[in-house]
This record gives sequence, C-alpha cells and structure tokens, in this order.
Amino acid sequence: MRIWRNKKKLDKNEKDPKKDDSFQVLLQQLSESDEFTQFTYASRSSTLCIGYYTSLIDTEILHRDIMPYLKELEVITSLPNVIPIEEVTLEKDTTIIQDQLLRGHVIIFDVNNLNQMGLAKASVERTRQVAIPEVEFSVVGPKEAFVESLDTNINLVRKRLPLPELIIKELHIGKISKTRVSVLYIEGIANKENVNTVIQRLSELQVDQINDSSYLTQLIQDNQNSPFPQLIDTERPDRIASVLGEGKVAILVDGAPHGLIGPTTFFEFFSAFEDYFLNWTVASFFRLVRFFAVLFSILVTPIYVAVLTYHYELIPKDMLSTLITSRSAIPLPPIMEALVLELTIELLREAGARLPTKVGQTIGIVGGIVIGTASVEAGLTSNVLLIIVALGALASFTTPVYQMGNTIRLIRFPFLLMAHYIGLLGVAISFCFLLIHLLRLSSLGRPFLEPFYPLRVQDLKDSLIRLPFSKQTKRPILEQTEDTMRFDPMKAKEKNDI
Amino acid sequence: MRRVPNFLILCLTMLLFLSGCMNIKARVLDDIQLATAAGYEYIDEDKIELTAVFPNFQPDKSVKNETLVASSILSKEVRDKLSLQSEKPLVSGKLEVTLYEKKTAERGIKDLLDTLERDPSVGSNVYLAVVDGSPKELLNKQYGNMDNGIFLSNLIEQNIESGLIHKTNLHQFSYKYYAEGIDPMLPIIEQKNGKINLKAIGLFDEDKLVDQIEEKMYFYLKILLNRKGENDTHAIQLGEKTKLSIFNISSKRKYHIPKPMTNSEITVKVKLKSMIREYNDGELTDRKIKELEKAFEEDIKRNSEEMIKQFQEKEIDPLGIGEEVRSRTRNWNKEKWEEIYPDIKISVQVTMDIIQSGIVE
Amino acid sequence: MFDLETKELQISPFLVFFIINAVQVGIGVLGFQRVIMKSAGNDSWMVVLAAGMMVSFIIWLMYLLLNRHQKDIVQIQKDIFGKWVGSFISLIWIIYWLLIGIVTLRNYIEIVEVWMFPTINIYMFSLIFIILVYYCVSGGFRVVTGLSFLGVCIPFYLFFTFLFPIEFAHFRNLLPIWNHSIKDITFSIKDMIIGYLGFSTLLMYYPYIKHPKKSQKWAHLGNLLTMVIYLFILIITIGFFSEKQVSRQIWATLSLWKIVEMPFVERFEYIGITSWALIILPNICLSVWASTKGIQKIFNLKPKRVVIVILSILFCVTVAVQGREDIALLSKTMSLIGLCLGFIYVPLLTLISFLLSKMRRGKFEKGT
Repeated sequence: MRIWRNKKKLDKNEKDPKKDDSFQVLLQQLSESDEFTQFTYASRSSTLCIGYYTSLIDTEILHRDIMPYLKELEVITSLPNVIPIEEVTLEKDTTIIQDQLLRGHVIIFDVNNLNQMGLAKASVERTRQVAIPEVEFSVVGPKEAFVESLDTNINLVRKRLPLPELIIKELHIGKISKTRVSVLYIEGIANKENVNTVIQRLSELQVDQINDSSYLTQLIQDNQNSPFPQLIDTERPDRIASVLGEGKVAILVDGAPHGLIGPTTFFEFFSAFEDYFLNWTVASFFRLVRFFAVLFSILVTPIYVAVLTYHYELIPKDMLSTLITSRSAIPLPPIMEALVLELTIELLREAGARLPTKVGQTIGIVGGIVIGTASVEAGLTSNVLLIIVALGALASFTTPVYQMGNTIRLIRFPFLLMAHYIGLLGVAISFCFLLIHLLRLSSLGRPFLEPFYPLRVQDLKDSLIRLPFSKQTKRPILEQTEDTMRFDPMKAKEKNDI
Repeated sequence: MRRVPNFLILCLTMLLFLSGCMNIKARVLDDIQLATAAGYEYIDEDKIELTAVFPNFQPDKSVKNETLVASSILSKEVRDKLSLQSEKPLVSGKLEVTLYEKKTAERGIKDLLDTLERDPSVGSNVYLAVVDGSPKELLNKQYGNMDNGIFLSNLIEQNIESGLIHKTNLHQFSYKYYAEGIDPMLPIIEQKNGKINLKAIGLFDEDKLVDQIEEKMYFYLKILLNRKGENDTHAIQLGEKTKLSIFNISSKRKYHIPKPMTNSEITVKVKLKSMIREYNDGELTDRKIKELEKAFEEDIKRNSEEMIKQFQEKEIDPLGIGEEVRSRTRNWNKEKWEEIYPDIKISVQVTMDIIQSGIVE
Repeated sequence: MFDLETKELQISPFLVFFIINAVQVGIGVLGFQRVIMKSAGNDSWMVVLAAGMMVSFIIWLMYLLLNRHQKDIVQIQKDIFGKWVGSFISLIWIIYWLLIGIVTLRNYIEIVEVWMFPTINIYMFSLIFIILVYYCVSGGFRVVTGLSFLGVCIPFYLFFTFLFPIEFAHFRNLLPIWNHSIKDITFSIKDMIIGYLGFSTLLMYYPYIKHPKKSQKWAHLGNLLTMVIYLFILIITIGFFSEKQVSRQIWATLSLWKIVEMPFVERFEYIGITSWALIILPNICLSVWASTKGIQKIFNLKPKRVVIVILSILFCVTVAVQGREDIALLSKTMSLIGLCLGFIYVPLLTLISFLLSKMRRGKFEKGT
C-alpha cells in the first residue's frame, strides 16, 4: 500500500509543469534533452521552426518527403495539403504535441504564429524481422512468430482473418511507459461480457510500466496469487487467429512478442497448437501423453518419498531388492535425497536458461551425465531416484505453455514436503488442496476447470482429446459465444466426392 | 480482501509442517528389517519359538539370509524379543510365508494366526505351510541367491500356478476356518539336503492338522475342489505296459444333492476335457482313445471316492461338501450336518473327453 | 461469496446426482458389512436394496415439500412454525449436519490411526483437514459442488480394484435366498440406512439448483448409484469372506483390498485409505456448508465468521472424542438423529405443509 501512495505523490509532481500550457515552456523542456534537434528554416513566406527527436525519426523521410515541400508552404494550416505523408495534423494542445513528438513525429511551426503547430509522422520502426517461433515451435504448420512491434503483430493476425468484424480496441497503459495495448475480438462471435471484462480491467489498471504482455497476465488475471497462469500467452499469430474464431479475446502489447488469450481453461494449457496440424487420433494421443506427463511429474517423486519413508508394505516383493540395494549405502533420508536431486535439476535448468544455447547444452550434458553418475557412485543418491527425478523433470518440460511448465515444477515441492510429513496421505491432501484451488480459479470469470467442472460434454471434444474438425461444429460453451455454430454441419455432410 | 486470509492460511499450514509435529514414526525402507518368513514351533506347553528370516541385501546384488530366534508365550512379544537382537527395528509388513512345525500344527494354529489377522500391516497373500521337521533348520539354510521368504513364496506360488496344488494363502485359510461346511488345507513341506520339497497336503479339522494326502492324490483333490479348473496333470498306468499322462484343459465339477440334509446320496459330477501328453503303447486310434477315456473315468472315480471316504472317516470336509449343502438349505444347522456327514454316501461320476493327442498319432 | 442465490451461484440440475452420491458414499462404505450381516447374513443385499428404496422415497417426499415452497428448510420451517419454533428445529438440523461432518472426519482419523499411523497427532491432522474444508467452503457452493463432482469421478477407479478379490470369491455363499426371516432383514435396514444418510443436505442447497424441479430424477439416480456401490461391495464381500470372518472385520472393505496384488503395487488398502481422503472431503465440506448456511440464514450473520465458528466446533469435538466406544457412540447418536429427522420428521413436515396449504386455500375460498 505504501508503495502505491508514494507513486501517487510522484504523479502529482509530474503533473505540475504540465499545467503551464505555454508552448515555450514545452520547447524549453524538450530541448533539455540533447537528442532533441531543433532548427529554423526559411520558407518562401515565413520562418519555420522544425523539431524532432533524432533517435525516433527516419531522417530519410524527413529529407525526402518533408523538407523539399516546406519551401512551397504559404501558411502553416495548409501543411497537410502540402506534405505527401498520411499522418500530418495540426495541433494546439501541448500535451498531445509532446506525446506525438515522443512517438516519432516532427513538429513544424511558424515562429511568428504559435497558435497552430504542424505534426508530421516520420517515425522509424526498428524491430526485428518476423522469425520462426522458438517457444512453440512446430514441425508442421506456419512458422511465423510475433515480434515486438504491435503493428506488425496485428498485421500477422489480420492477414489470417480478413474480416471487418475483427475489432481492435487500443488502450494506452502505464504512467511512464504509455504502452499501446490492443484488445482483439470478433464482433458477433465473442461474448460482449468477456470483451468488457478485459477492457474494464485493462483501463482500470494503475501501473507505471508495462514492458511485456506477461506484466498484463499477472495484473489482470482473476487470482493474482495463484501460481497458475489464467491467461495463455502465445507467440503464434495462427493460434491467436484460431482462438479468436472460437470467441476468445486476445490482447497484444506493443513491445511484446507474446499475445495473451482469455478466457481459457486448465486443460488448454496442455494443448499445443501443433495438435491442430496433426490427425486427430495422433493429436489426442499426444495430448493425453502430455497430461499424464504432468500428473507423473507432480506425483512420482512425492510417491517415492512417501512409500520409502512410511509405506514399505506397498512395494512388491520383486522390487524390494532393487530398491533396498540402491538405497543401502545412502546416508540421507529419502526426502533429503529427493530434494537434493530436484534442486540439482532446477539448478541445471536455471543455468541452462541463462546461458547461450551452446554453453547451455554443455551444462546440460555435464550436469545430467557427470553429476548424476558421480552422485550415484559417491553414494549420495540412489540410482532409482535419479531415474525417477530425471523422468519427472523430463515430463514437466512437455507442457507446451512455458508459464504452466514453471508452475508444474513449483508445485512439486509442497507435494514433496507433505509426502515426507504424512506419507501418502500427505500426497492425497496436497492433491485435494490443488483440486480445490483449481476449482476456485476462474479465467475472466469463466470456470478454470471447464469442461470437466462444470461438465460440458460438448467442450470435451477439444480438451484432453481432440476430435476431428468435422465433429467440431459448435464453438466451446466456455466463451458463451454469440454465434454458437462454427459452420453448418448439414452442409458439411452434403459434400460429394467425384 | 478475500485473498489475504487464504494467504495467511497458506503460511499457517507451512508453519505447522515446518514445526513437524505430526508425530509419525518414519519407517524408512533401508532402516528396517523386513521379516519375509517366520517359523513357529511350540517348544513346551505354552512357549512358542519364533524364527524370523530377513534378507540382507548385499551391495553386489547378492542376498544373505539372516535368522533370529526367540521364544515367548505370545507371538507379538516374541517379535519384540527378536528386535532386541536386531540392529534395525523388525517389521512384519512384508511377511511372505509363515511356517508351522507339524506338531504345532497338530496342536492347532488358531492362536498363532490371530496376530497375523489382527496386524493391519500383514497382507492376506501370506502363504502358510506346515513343515515336516524343524522350521528353524529349514529357514537357516540358504536356497540359491535369494531371500528365503521370497524363495518359499515363489515355490508355493509356482506350484499353485502350474496347477499342482490348490490355491492357498492366509485369507483362504481363515475363510475356510471360519466358514461352516469346509475345512482348511495347507501344503506340507520338508527340507532334505538343502532342497525344499512339497511333500503332501495337510488336512485340517478346524485349526488342527489331522491328516494328509500324498502327492499322487493331488489331482483328484484338485478336480473335486474347484467348480472350474484347468492345468492339472495326471498319469496312470493301465495294466502291465500302458502308461499315459494327460493334461487337463478344463474340468468342471457339479454337485447333485437331491435331498439336502438327509442321508440320501450325494453325487459329484466331474467333466474333464484333456489332452494326451505322453503315451507309450503303440498307435492311438479312436477306439483306443475311447478305451483310455473309460479307464481314466474308472480310475478317477475309484480314487476320488476312496479319498472322500477317508475324509468322512476323519470327519473333515476339505472339499466343502458341507458348504454345497449349506447353500441349498435354509436355516442350516452345523451340528446336525456334522452328525450326518460321516454316513452320507458320496459318489463321483466322471465324464472324460480326450480331445487332442498332441502332434503325433 | 455467500450471496443470494443469483444465477451465477446456481448449479446445473444434473450435478445433484454427484452431490447426493458424494455425501452418501463416505466412511460407511469401508465397514458397513459387519453391522448389517450380523442379523441379515447372506441376505444383506436385500437390506441394501430396501434401504436404498426407502431413502429414495424420502428424497421424493423432500422434493414434494421443496417444490411446493421453493425455499430452503430454514425458511419453510419459519413459514410453518413461526420464527422461534422454526428456528429451533432448524438448529437441530444444523447440529445434525455438523455431526455428520464430525463423525465422518473422526472415523476417517480412526482408520488412519489403526491402519497407517498409530501415533499420529490427531490435533494436527484434523487441523489440516479443517483448513482444507475452510478453503473449499469459503469458495462458495459452486466449489463445494465441484469438489463433490471430482470426489465422485476421480476415486471411481477404486471400484475396479474390487474385481481382484473375485478370484477368491465363493459366490455360492449368496445362496440360499431368504435364509433369514423378514424380521431380521427389517432390523438390519435401520443399520443400513446410516450408510445413506447425509442426503438431507438437499433441503439446504435446493435454492441453489437451476430449474430445481428437473433435478429430482438426478437426485434419485445419485441415490441409485450409492445403492449400486453398496450392493457391489457387499456382494463381493459375501463371496470373499465367510460370515463369521466378516463379523471379525471392522473394516471389511479395507480387508478386501489386502488381497490386491499388482506388478507395481501390493497391499492396496493403503492406497484405498489415501484415496478415500478425496471421498470424505466433499462429504465434510457439504455438511459444513449446510450448517454454515443454516446458521447464517437463522441469525443473519456474516458467513466468514460462521464458517470459522462451525469449523472450530468441528475441530474441538473431533479431537475431544477418543477411543472406539466414544466414536461409536457419536456415530450412533448421529444416525439416530438422522433417522428421526429423515424418516419421521420429514414425512410429518410434508404432511403438515400439505394440510396447511389446504386449510389456507379453504380459508381463502371461504373468504371469497
């Protein structure tokens, strides 16, 4: 709370100079920055003053499309007719002028007439090229990923949905960053309630900076303390286009190579977009594998710890000798052994993630093979547990959405501790806790565990399994879409093969 | 505001756990001695000697058996005494086999079973067996590179699965012990020159060993015991030269009890479908097969009836004929049944069908 | 979170199936066999059927009452008996529901004590459970329903493990039918109904059901599923154990699991007990929710405080009751109140409500 109060005070201080709306003051303020260039230019009838931030504009546009035409300028008001650029405006308001200058406009004004200022857009976009998706890479299918430019990103989406109904609402969020945030939805499909929730939450945000879309996920999701993300982030424009068609709402943020999708469900986090590129049988199998991998990854180490600490009766007689032999030389209790190994894996992951790819690989090999083998030989960990932990870690990496993968790795630790304290019962209690938590979560007000709870049979066909496209005639109930049918199933059946 | 208390709860929970006062005793797998087999023997009027075997898994994957012996009047107390001798606490959760000395079994094993039934950590799959000889000696030997308990349990399990003996375990024993109209049986094993041999099947009256049947009668016992069976093997000698061995593909047993709880005759109908495994008297023609079937039927009928006679004489009912009668009469009276049981005429009808004779004629 | 029953808080009618089933299937399933087989023996399956049908009849009566009033029991009793008497009877209901929660939790803890951890600190353990219940109940009725739904669906795999004992079962034990007198069988029905108790929470969550009239068939089906579960386990028990053997098993269902052997796991009863946590949790949550809602309706209190008070009572009673006799006494009291309320009071209330409405209508007609 205190932090917020301080910020408000700061805001007031900031606003004070703005109240003085004299243009001279603005100019003075701007020229304090060395980067702001200002010079005069004598046109045929008057003396013009031109100013801009050097770093923000494209000098080529300035010299090619603006300067040559200024000579002809009679009065400043005819500026939009003279300069061959789309965005040329006349402004009086100093705040807007300041804002536009900071977005790469060039200010042109008559030294003798400070009532009207001309603004011409000459901004330069310095972004990287559209590249191959890295986080959500797929072997088949489109290979475009979002970049840091909002306009490029919107272009990538709109290209896939040439619809006048695709509405894009733009907001500016952040006291300092004034980040452009776009809300995308398809009019007539998306539920107005969802759209309004998103826009309302976004516009009510009190924050100074938005540097990435993940800021927004954390700020506008329903339960901000939950380790589970409640909005999917994706770098694939095709995924955004596809879910817009389902009636979801997407959020794109300028400067962020990831878009956000909501409302979403728990199970959607385990569907990779690649699933739609594969035959439905294969895709369903992969989804099930992924989901079991998650369960496995959460439960396997805790169950090992619980069984070895308290429930030796559960071990079948043929497995006894393997387990006992592997543990016989180890001085640590199972929980310590497991924690040490789990933490080692986390360390390896962290080290690998912070280092360049090549070095990261080396670290992985060194860590995985050398440390693993060495610790078994040194008698610090049992080889059975090493296999279990490695498999569990492997399984946790199968989650297609990176944010969810992190969550899965995190929630293993409370499970582990509980398993140590009350054995299998601890695992069961943690599991109950997890279930209740998931039941309490919602995504933009929609239930998070849908389609299992509340049970919606119709939505089950694109959850843990994916049925063929021809069966998916209706949009999911989750989004409460205005137009529920994707296409006419009767017409789809009519098709005649020649 | 709603989120604050939840967060507090989370912290509170964590605190609770970190204080670690759940007060549960950990039994880490490698810090306990898993008794896998136990042998009981009465050494005098009311003192029991208990021999416990536990495996000592060596780092080079070999297993060394270690035994502890102690005696007391209660078997649980013996276990505490055993723990006095052991470096790690002794637990009975992985008990595979319990052995009873023959004299002990004749005295009745009910009291010794009670501890197994009462202890939640002992499973129902524990095998029970009677030892002809001293269980202490039997358990003291090393049989292959294996834990003795697991060795014994594998031995019994293998014989059950291959159809040589009937299904038996702790649950089955107590089922038959408590059920009205059926008496338990247990395998009898003996140790000879470091080898273990399934010698006979011990027949119990309630919990006391009273009789036993030899290996050659297993076949008759098995086909009469189960409503449906398979996997039995049997060999007979007909006349001077003809020897043959058959393998049972399926056997069906049905009771025909026209007037239950009276002295009227009870008929056991057995239907067998078999194949010939070995035959040493020339060619097998259809007529020959018919003859063999006849001979077999005769043999099974004669031996089974003889066996049932033997049971009736001893007033035991391992086949569960009483149970068959019980499920056919309302308000069954156990005493009355026990009274009439020895005098009922019980006959066996066998239909044998040899459906296959291997890949040669 | 505890608001009026607006549309968002309401649940689909078919979920009543899971709620009814979740609240009925609880700790009773683990050890009901001994009690009913004591007098009905191998004819107990008839007892299960008869008890199930009687409960179904009571559910029908409840719906008759609720459909007429479209309110929960607290309001109905206020309408019929006036503010003071009505609230007093509502308090009895609330105590009864709370008792269901206590008995379930205490019995579960006892099982954990006997089967798994004899020295477990029950203060700590029940505290953990109560925190779970608080987390669930404070999420509102939707979360409680959700947990009931998952509490029925997820542990359902357990019932497949009861197929393992079939290998050793003697199903001839079921014969002869009608081995016991009708008197014996009727006598057992009373004991069996305890296994079905808890369905009366319906009286409290009725206003939370969307199109409540449609939910009636689901309630009956939920009860039917409970009956099928009981029947299934009972038949396997009769086949697997001999009668005298059952009479020695306090938790025959758990003993059934002792025989289960799979390549990766043996001794399934430990997994059964563990999984049962998920079965009893909705049970406790629902009863706590019902009593909280009741108190809140009577006294117009803030829900959060009520939950905390109710949970404190739950905690205190749970840890105060020690030893098998006390637990048995508590269970007996609970089932007695349950029987009286469910099988005597509910029909009576339905009758009174019916007569009153007739009388009022008569008066109305006379007046005009």
